[in-house]
Amino acid sequence: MKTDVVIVGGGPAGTASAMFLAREGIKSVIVEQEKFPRYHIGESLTGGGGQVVRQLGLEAEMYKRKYPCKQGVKVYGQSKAGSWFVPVTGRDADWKLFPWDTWQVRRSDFDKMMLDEAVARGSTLIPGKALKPILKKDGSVGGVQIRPMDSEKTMEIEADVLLDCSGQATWLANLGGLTGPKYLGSYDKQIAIFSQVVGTIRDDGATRDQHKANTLILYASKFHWAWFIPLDEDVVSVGIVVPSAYFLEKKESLRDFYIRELHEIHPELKRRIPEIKLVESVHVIPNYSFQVKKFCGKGFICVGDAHRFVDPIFSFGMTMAMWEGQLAAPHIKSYLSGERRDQPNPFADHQLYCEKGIDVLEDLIDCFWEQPLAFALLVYTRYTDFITDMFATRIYDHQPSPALDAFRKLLNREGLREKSYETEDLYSVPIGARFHPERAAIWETNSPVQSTEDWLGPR
Amino acid sequence: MDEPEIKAAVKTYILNEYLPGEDPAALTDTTELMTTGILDSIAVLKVVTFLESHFGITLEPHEAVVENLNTLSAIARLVMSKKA
Repeated sequence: MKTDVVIVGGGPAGTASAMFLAREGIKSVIVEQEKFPRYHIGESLTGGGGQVVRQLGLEAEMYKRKYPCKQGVKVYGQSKAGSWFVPVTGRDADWKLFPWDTWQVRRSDFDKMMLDEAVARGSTLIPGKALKPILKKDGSVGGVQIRPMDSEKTMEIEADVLLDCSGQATWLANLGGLTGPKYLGSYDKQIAIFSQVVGTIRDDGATRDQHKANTLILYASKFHWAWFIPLDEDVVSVGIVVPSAYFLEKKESLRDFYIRELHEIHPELKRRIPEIKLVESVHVIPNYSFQVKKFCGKGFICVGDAHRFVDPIFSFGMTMAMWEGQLAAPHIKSYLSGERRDQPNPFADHQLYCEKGIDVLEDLIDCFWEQPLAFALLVYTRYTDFITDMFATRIYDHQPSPALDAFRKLLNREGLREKSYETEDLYSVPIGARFHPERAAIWETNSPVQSTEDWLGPR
Repeated sequence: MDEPEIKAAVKTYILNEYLPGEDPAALTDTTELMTTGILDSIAVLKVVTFLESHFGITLEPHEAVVENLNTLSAIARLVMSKKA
């Protein structure tokens, strides 16, 4: 079969991409191997995520479905005394801040809504497993070979553009050959353990910082923290992120570990969950950051987690995935109309734009972990508005802001980012990876270690 | 304003704000405020705000580190160096 754009993965990256493409009059096929609804983690949208959903014309549907209306993020520090609050904001046409809201979403429901909506707007869903990209004679991607669900035979979907929206599976990068290498980032020694609880004590909504739908982040020590994300009137997603060594040391079952941590990780979390009642099994995922270099090329673009994952602490993932889908659409349109076909990377502009944006988030997160006090000082007393922008994922325009410059100064990264944007070297070391100079082997062109998996061994 | 005066002013502020009812003698020049958890990060930020307004100084973000803010002595040294 033939289409304009084939999308591997029917999560928010894929469905948002399909809808933004449909707006440009571009046909797409979504290949998804799981049957929706399905459980997925990553349940919070930033202010920017709310904006994308609104741009897709889904605001009324979001309210109708009664997704909790998040007003901001409250971060609890190491002791009982303090918390700080970052409100969800928007910027108007004159770049003036205004208070806004966004949503917490139960992914089984939200992702299904997005998929149904993408299909309603003209995209074709094919349940099945993507096997490999089809290459044209000139080396550009010309579609994908799949195995449809319940079929022994493979099938070819011809398309001028392939979008890898496979999330952390990093389907295309793992196949090798088309993208650049996948590097480990700074955060690789943690795991996230999570479930859903009921009967929690929520704030009562008198003021924005007391709103019952807010995200709470409870910080115990470096790389050891918890999230509290309300999913409806009763159910709350609660996750514990810990160094994996700490988990192994405890020699407990996943469930026992989770339940003990709920009451030990932070006094505020214990207060909010007086009696532990789980309504979902306990899940675990490795929480490691990675970055795929050269994630765009002749006829392909990786979107969202399929090329980069930093750290889940401030819930940027789903927003970034949908936002990048929106950013990609006009580039795909001009490529389909025949532009930039002769260039080695027709989507180089899009790639650099995305990269610069996520670098802002990486610097924000690194500063939070490496310089917590200075970070809090900047949030509180220096650049509150600029940092609100970053938390809302306004990371492309009006950057670098004075806040970002301050972060980079604290991290000794002044000028480093700019320099990295000027190099064409595929093997240039991602800055986030500089925390691990011992891994230089991965970064060298002729290294025997070619991938993250090689380095880590089987997981 | 000299170092003993700075220490006295900061001490009064911390006692009033965070340790009401505490014996002033218990808070010495070398009592560790942050590493022992007497002050958490939010409280330290409020101390920073106090230092800035009371002494007319402005801290650079990189100066907001434990070493500069952990004891009354360290805080006084920091303020003196900023006023110099």
